[in-house]
Amino acid sequence: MIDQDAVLVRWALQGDVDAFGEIVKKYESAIVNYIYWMVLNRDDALDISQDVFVKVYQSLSKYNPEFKFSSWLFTVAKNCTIDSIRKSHKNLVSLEEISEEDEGGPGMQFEDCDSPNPEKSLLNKELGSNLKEAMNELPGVYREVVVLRHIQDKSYEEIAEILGLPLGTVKNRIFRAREILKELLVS
Amino acid sequence: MKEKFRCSAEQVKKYALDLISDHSSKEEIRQHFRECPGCLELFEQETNLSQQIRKLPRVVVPLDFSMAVMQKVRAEAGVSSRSRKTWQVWSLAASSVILIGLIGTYWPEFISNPFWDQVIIDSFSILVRTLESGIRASLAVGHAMILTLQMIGGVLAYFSRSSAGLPSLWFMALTTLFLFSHFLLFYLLRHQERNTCK
Repeated sequence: MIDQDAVLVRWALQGDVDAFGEIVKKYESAIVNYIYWMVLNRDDALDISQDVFVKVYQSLSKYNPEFKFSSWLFTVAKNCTIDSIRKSHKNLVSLEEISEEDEGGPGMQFEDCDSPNPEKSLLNKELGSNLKEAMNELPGVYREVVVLRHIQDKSYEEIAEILGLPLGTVKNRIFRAREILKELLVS
Repeated sequence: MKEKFRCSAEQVKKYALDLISDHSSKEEIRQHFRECPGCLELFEQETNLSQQIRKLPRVVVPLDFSMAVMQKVRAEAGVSSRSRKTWQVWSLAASSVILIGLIGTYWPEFISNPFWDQVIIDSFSILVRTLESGIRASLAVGHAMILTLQMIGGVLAYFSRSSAGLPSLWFMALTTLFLFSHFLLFYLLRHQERNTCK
């Protein structure tokens, strides 16, 4: 099967800027949401995401086609986010940094992923709200693996590749993260 | 080797995460869940948590996001192409310097050549002689130095910005080939000269 990403990357490297545009459209949502869960601020997530795509374009020639493009993209996103957090002296796990707007205020634009019946919807919204709070409280290293596994649907192997960690460590972190989440939800 | 499923909370949690990929274990675990309500409840809690995380609201990316990115990317691509053009201009300028240097070196030799008549009689001979003196002269005036500087420039360009450096790298390769062909020709001429003297 032809790897569409690899073809787009090759075209982009040959000077076809529109081919890179296709890559941006394909991954913008995934990258923005991944970064959002790292910085917990929508505007920062959008700004960093822009930098990520520009950085990816600049270093496209360094991409090794033997590896999955999306994994490489997420690795660049992770590194850019860490750099950005360091620059702005923000704490990856701090809750105090989250503005009112990010807690679901008028400036926050989210889309609901499910559309069940009204009663169930209310219950789910409550659980979803609690879960969101629990996710915010989750230490950054754990939140990162949960987002990659359950929100981005990445395999353990891909997560290991993105984070540069052994497979066992990834599995342990996901397991531990879920335990902490459950504790936070109960409390 | 397949791990045997044991009735423990940790095992249920582990299988709740891994189950999907392992079909052979699936039936064995389902059978266990039918007999063990405690494990089933725990398993359902685990899968429910995964589903709830998946259903967390997502940030809506603004419609102009990709446009803003592409604006930056196009600006970046423009910078690369400008940088490439700069290197092409410099390469062309360097080539022109070499060409002028070579013409300047060959021309007086060609005009004042005592074997002028032989140009008509034996064009190859005169070409060889003019080339020989040309090589000597050009090496003497720092022809090699110009080529070396170009090579260094090419390497620097390649490492500073790969896309802009590529034409320079090509130019570097050609000039290196040119330099080596000069040396080879020089060696052959000397060799021929020695044989003629003998």
